[in-house]
Amino acid sequence: MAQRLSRRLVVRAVVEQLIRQPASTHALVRSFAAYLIETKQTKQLDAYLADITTALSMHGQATATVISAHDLDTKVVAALKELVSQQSGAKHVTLEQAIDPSLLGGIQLSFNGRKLDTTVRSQLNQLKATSAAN
Amino acid sequence: MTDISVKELSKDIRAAIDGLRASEGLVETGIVTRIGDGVAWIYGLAGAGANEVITIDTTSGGTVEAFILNLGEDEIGAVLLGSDQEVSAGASVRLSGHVLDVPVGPELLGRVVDPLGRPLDGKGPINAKLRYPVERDAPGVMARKSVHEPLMSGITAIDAIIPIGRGQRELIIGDRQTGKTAIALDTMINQGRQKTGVVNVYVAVGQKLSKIARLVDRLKEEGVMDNSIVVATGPADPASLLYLAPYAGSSMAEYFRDHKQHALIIYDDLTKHATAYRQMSLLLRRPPGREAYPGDVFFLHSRLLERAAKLNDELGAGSLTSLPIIETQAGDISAYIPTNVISITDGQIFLETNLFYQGIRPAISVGLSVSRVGGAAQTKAVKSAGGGLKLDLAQFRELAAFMQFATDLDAETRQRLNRGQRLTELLKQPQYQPMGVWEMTAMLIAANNGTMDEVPVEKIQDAKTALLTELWHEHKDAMRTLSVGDKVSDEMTKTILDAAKKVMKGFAA
Ligand SMILES: Nc1ncnc2c1ncn2[C@@H]1O[C@H](COP(=O)(O)OP(=O)(O)OP(=O)(O)O)[C@@H](O)[C@H]1O
Ligand SMILES: [Mg+2]
Repeated sequence: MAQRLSRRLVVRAVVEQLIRQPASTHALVRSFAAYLIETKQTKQLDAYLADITTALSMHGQATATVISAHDLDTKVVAALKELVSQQSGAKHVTLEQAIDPSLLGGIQLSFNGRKLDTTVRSQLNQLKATSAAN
Repeated sequence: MTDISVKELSKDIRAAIDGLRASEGLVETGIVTRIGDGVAWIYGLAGAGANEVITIDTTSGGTVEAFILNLGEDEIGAVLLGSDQEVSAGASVRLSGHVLDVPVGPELLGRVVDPLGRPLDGKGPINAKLRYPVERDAPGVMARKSVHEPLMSGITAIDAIIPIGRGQRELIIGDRQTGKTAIALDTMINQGRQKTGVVNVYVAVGQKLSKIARLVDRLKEEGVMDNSIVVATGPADPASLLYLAPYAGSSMAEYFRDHKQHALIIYDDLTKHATAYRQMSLLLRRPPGREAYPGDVFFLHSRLLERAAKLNDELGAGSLTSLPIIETQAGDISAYIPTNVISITDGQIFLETNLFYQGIRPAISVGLSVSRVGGAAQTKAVKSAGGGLKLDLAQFRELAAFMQFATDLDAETRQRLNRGQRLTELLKQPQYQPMGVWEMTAMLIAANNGTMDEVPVEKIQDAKTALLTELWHEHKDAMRTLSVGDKVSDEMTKTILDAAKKVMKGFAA
């Protein structure tokens, strides 16, 4: 059985491979998947991916996710990319977009384990919590 | 020297401020990966610190607080301060940026609160102006002064034989139902009776709520609740709250210590506290050691009890005395937690089931109880009157065991037994009846000088009451002087002995 390493070490190895040999991504994916199965960590894939995203942004390639209630204007998208680039120091920013009408309005931007939440839903929740506390 | 342009500097600072503003609202968030038994495992939050408070979103749109105990390489283990019912895997988690703290100050007096300082007595919110972190460093060597003022418990057996000083840590240890809480409660009541101004903080760790309610009622009845704080946790509360209770109570008591006042804190009891910590540690997957306690269980109690202190004059000369309670199993004081706490404290009051059932209450074992620093703080009057008492009683208990086999005894031995029986009887004291300095001193002087030797054992308590009544009626001023606690003058001794001889005549067989 493969020795179980800390996630941090595995992520570092994966990211180094990705950057140094972008051509052999396919092989890397296969061996990474095999490692996760062998060490029974398939359920932790999301955590690994998030760590890989964070590590990549330190190499100049940031990925951010934005969820909004409606389609976003191209100007807004550009501004968000600019913000992510500023905050993470990465030159190249990929913005993944998703729509969720239950947010009612505003956006939820997350990257590198940080979150910007301006949605109407969370503001309503906050209001509910503070009025319940008093 | 190069010129520093303030204009340039201010421009830079303004730019930096704008930069910081832009990142406002951008909060570090983590995700709950696993949850159960009040423990949450969290992914993310690279900037988290140990003991930091975090906020977890619940499924109903509210939040629940937790605090971080494990900082792993890949994940964080946190203990919830509320119910885990509404927290699910995937819930988002935010850092609060501060460690746990509780409200402190005079506003808490007379209140019953939980370990987070939230009121439990339905008397409305507590508007404390100040908050202290729950974990605070103990005062260092230079900040302290040696213990030198007495903290009177009002229980003669304690004040005469195992005296407690302000700033001391004295352990109350014994099996279940041996009167441990009773001693602590009487000590609190005595602070009110003698108007010592000492603030009481009673920390209930996983105690039955009915018992806590009865204790609070008693404190109110005795009029000491106004000068007391009760930190309550019940058996159904999460282990995290039981774990926090002593530290929170200690912070509340330290406010008084640090403001030139005197405080007394009771931890009832640290056995349950250690059990709660063991539960949390096992759930956090920390490696178990002896009796399945984690390796740092000694530190758990040492850092708590080190917070008791007598501060030096520059710091206001306040004090915090602590009376931790430990419950033993079948009198075994060599188990893990009892030995730990015995080694941390400045002495112990050991209560024995045997004595308790023989009717010797408080059931204090004279041989096994000690006070390592209180002697220097003992009231002079009680000290001189009670000198030699410990030895007399210890010898008596030894002889009493031996006597069962002896047929005829020499006069001296019989005399020893005689005196011992009467002293033992004299030191019996009902609950809620703490005694003042003059009462203790007078009765000990009378007994030690043999005036009670002819009184039958079963009449000793009545004789004592009669003597004290006589003294109070006939020599009120002298007794007031005696209450001050100074060394007893020969004249005073004579007054007491004369009265004793007169009273005892009526009781002699
Ligand atoms: N000095 C005393 N004289 C008479 N009765 C006493 C005395 N001290 C305690 N008791 C009684 O003994 C019983 C046990 O006392 P207490 O609750 O203080 O013991 P404990 O050791 O704290 O018990 P537990 O293990 O349940 O916490 C109570 O009913 C109490 O009223
Ligand atoms: Mg008790």
